[in-house]
Amino acid sequence: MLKSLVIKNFRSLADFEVAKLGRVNLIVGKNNSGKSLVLEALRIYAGNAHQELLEKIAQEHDERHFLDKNIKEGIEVSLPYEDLFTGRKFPKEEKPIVIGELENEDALKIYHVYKVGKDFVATDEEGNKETIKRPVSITSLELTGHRLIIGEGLLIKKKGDSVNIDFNVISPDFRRFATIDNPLPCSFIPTHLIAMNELASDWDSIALTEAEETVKDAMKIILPEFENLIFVNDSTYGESKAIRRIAKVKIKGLSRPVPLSSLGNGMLRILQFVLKIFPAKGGFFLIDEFENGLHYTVQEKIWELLFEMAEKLDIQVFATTHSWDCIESFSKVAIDRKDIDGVLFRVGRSVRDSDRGRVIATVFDEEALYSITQSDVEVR
Amino acid sequence: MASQNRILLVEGETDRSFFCELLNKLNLQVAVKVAPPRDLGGSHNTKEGVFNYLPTLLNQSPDGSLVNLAVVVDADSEPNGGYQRTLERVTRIVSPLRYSLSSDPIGGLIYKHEDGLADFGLWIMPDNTQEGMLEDWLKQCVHPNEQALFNHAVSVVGELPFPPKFREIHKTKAEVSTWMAWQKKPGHGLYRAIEDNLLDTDSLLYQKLINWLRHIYSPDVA
Repeated sequence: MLKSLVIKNFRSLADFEVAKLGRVNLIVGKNNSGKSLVLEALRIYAGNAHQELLEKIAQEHDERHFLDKNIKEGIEVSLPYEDLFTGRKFPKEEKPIVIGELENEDALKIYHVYKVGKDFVATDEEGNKETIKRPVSITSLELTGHRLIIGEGLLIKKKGDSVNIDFNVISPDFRRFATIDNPLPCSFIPTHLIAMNELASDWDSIALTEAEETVKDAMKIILPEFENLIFVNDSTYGESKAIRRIAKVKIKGLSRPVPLSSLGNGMLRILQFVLKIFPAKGGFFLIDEFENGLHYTVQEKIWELLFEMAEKLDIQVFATTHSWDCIESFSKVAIDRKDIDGVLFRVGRSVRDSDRGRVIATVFDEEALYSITQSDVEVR
Repeated sequence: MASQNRILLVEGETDRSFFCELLNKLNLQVAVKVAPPRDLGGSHNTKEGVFNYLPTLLNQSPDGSLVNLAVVVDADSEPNGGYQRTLERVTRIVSPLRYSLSSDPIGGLIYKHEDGLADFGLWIMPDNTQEGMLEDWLKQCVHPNEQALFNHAVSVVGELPFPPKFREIHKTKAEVSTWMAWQKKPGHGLYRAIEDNLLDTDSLLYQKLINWLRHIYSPDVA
């Protein structure tokens, strides 16, 4: 569990610090303030900036993640992953993206590097010495005009371990193995609904376990008449297509099952929450726009559930919101559950002279939360 | 929820209604919320409640969520209160947040921020010098047309044929309340003194207070 957070040189988070984090954290801020970027940084931290993850994130933003050899030189194109860095370009100096805890050397660092040929002396079987060139990664700081640049890439470091992402290598065959450290489990709930097939496979992994009961209890928060849930193959789908599974629900007093999707977004959203929280055990559970599809009357119960599960499964929860109802329900549960630390932080831009415009965090611990929810002070 | 980023923090309900009325009269170009601590989620409507809540509010300034803040508290009297003690207390609270007392007071007291945030204002009733409270300020701002009636109230209170139930430090409170009890609408708050034009708006102390309010809540400071 992270006790504090520092994010540097990552998109608009040039130098962002949160001095105190809790078990459950709610992030507020205006549109485009950078609150969703905090979730993205945490995904990258948890996944050790694995190439597959970086590609996925780039795709979510329609950003470049490969070198297109077909584009003729001279046309202005961005380099892969350039958009990840503050200012949307690679820094001239050695300024890596940093994601981790304050004053902790184990932070994840992402450097932009150049590949150059370096002379190595090799000795063959007969004892003959021979000079060969091998590619090495160096940062722009170490780059001198003399050496031939073979290519560019990213160098990813964490806990003294490092791995390269080479922009020239686009074959998917061998680069996938490169990884550092064990990734942290991490579930991400985006603003849009997750594909049914994905939820179905999450369901399969918890079916007939204790977790299945938790899922069912959660569904009852929104629909008290809920009795049971199964995933079945969709018979209305054409034969030629791949199998599509859909969720069906048994409701008290109805003799036949009804499709879950017919019960509204709230039911789908809460199913996502509970199905995705189990795989996050020991890691992060990230929710973008908590309130989506959830009426304010059920939000408090869902926070209670999340606080409970987070503690039980040793998960650190981060959620963003625009909604005052969500802040109120979160605060109420955070104050009630004295045993579980809840922290709210607002992402906004500094109006101080020394760092005007810098994205900064304002932290509310439980005491400040109580004050602020009783008042007219603008938290969002 | 109403958004409010300019706040005047006061000790209690009497001060709240008084300053609401005063700010209305000033016709500032910005909206200011006048509130005692409990209206803002603080625990107590007292001077101590104001002090306790101050850091939470000032912490909302660096990202512009709070634009202007000023505080009005009573100096009260020694040994627990007094002007100097009150000033030192506030300075101790705000200096870790990088505010320092300006040597150039504009009517009332001004704290400047080291890193360009808006000035934080402090007014210690009655006049940033003496012991006392809001009523002592009013006493010094009575309109010339009201002076005779006010003097009469003072003498009535002074010549009560019964032992007074109020403490000596609350004598001005008794005088001002007595005077207010003889107005068009008896039994309302001190704000009636403004609404009924019972105050001398040209008096030095009145002018000092409004200059200070205008400085704190001037829109170009934001």
